[in-house]
Amino acid sequence: MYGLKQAPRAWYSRIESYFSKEGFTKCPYEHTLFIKTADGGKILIICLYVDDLIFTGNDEVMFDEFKKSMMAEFDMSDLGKMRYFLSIEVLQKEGGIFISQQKYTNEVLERFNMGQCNSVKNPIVPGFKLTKDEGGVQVDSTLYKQMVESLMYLTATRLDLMFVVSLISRYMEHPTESHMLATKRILRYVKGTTKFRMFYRKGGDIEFCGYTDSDYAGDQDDRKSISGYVFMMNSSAISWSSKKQPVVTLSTTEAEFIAAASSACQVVWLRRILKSLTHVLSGPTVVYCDNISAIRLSKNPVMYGRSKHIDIRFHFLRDLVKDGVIELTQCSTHEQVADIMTKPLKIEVFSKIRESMGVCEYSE
Amino acid sequence: MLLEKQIPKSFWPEAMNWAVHVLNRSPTLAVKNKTPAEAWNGIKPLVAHFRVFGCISHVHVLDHRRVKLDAKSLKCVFLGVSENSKAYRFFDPISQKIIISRDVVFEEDQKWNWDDIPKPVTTNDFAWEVTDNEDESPILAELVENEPTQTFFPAESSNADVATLDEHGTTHANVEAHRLVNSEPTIVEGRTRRRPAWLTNYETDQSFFTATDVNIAHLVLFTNGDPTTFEEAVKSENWRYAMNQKIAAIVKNETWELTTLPVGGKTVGVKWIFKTKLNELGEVDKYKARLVAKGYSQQYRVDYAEIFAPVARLDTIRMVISFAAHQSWLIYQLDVKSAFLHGEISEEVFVDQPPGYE
Repeated sequence: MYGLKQAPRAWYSRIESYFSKEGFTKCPYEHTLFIKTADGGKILIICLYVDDLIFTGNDEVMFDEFKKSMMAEFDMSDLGKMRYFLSIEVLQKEGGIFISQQKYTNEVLERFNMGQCNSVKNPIVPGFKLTKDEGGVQVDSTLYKQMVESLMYLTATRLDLMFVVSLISRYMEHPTESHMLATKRILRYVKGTTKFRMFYRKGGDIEFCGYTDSDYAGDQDDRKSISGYVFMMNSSAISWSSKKQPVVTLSTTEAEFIAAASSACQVVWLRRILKSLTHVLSGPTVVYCDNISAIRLSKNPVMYGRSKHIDIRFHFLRDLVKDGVIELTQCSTHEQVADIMTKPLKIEVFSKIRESMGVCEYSE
Repeated sequence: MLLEKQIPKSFWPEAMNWAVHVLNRSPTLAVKNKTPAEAWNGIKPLVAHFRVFGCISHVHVLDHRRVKLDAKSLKCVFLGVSENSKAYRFFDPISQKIIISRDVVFEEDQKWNWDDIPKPVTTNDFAWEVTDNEDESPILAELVENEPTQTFFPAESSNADVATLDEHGTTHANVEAHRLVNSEPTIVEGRTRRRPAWLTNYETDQSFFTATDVNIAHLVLFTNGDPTTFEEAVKSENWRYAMNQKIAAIVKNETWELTTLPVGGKTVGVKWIFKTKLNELGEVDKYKARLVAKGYSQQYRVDYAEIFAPVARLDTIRMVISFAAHQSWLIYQLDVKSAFLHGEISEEVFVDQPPGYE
């Protein structure tokens, strides 16, 4: 029954037991992913979000069976092809699948009275540093939080916003006019890019790889660095993050190393999910990094004077490299797409990277 | 002194007091190079507080004695200094009372027009917008007319009573009436006002009455929203249908059974939630009624133990989409109707019977 504290859990265990009765296996690393396989490589994949679920696979018969049994068990409404899921619009076309949040974007702009604003080309001015600004004029923190929150959900399909949104979200406690201006600039950028979508193309090679990057002492107040990563599959980004590191680092190598270690955690998880989606991974996942000494540190059990304090992360990453899960590879700074997660970029670089990660402008 | 400001003769004791006060602090022949006050207590007196007797003075009205839209000051006549405290004495000709205060602005070259007094000033004198707006805002005009000859500074609110300093007799209704009459003009001030963020979703009285047609404003407010209570909803055919549907679903799912509450047992209240679902074109899609339990009264370890339920990570969803695209698979979507009714809970929970379906 709705409203009871245990209602969501009760529902989840109900549907979970139903799925296991129907012969699905639950992915142990993502409890809402259910997979059923049959002879001849037939597969049915279900992704559950409370009472909404999406399913895909390669066999029409399995679809029908599944739908029929669901209908018999629960009161279902069949929404047909996936079009609108968690306010993400999905377009399934000949060439591939587009996802966007156009409706949500317009709602956000309207909500903050930015529907008529002039758009800008990039979400943040290159070289712009946001600080705590303790002497600044305080603004309505509730409004600020609402803006950050709304933008945060936009990052579900808009990886170009990830860096700036996580940047402004660090000042939610005491927002001032300078933070509000930065937020409004993001909204103006969003206004100019409402038609942008992520594109996942059909066919091709799956080539699962990642990029990791970090800036150095990017936060002006506590001098911590920001680590970012992007994971690409079939030349479109599927997972991204931009996050301030929890510790102060002493060198760029160390900062890059911490970024690489946190992306390694993600690699492990993503590989497991991929594996349960019956994809056979051959060889280690390549993660590109533009810092040579960080790569060397991951390969060689050397103990430099300046790195001996990087203890646990050090060994974690090194073990993964040794086990052949991950391979840190050098790439030039120009190819480093994870740059977009760690620093404000010039417009040309910014739009080039954005494009290379599968963001494109497309209107129906 | 009395003639200078044309003050009634009844004020001569006040004038007398002030004259003595001034003379005591003025040079005199009786003592050499000293004022009488200095001669008496040895301290050179200050004369900075001297004001012209009987001049107009604007006395600040304390915050707790006025509501937001009332005047911040009271126009009075200066009468000298208080004997008991380091403050001035004033006379409020409207309420006919003596006021003692230090927060004051003087207009020493002005004098009170005593011919008007003591007849109280009527609201009409101040309701300058009434004549202008009579045609457009009948409600405003009506309000003013219905009021008895009411002083602008409500006489009962007696900002002026010295004896009963902490008494504010203003009836709330009077204050409200004043706010209505004055709401429009006071908005036009130099300062821009912002409503608090939590109010942006609501219509507050100010924007209400600035609307030219008050009646329409009221109508809009009540037709557009969904009902909030069962009593409201039950009047409408659509909502009755929606509620019947919901109860039918609950019965079908065997969500509950009717039982008697064991001794010492506690029930969780229930409530109807009504929501009109609109489609993409803004038309009414369906009327959705949902019966919810007031789960906030449940206590951890008493009424429930584990409540965590996983949801899919967006990373996973994107990965599934990407994987499906790569394999050229189609993705389909299903939605479970009233999903939470299917769940089976391990604890016993007693809920109240829904209103209207006892």
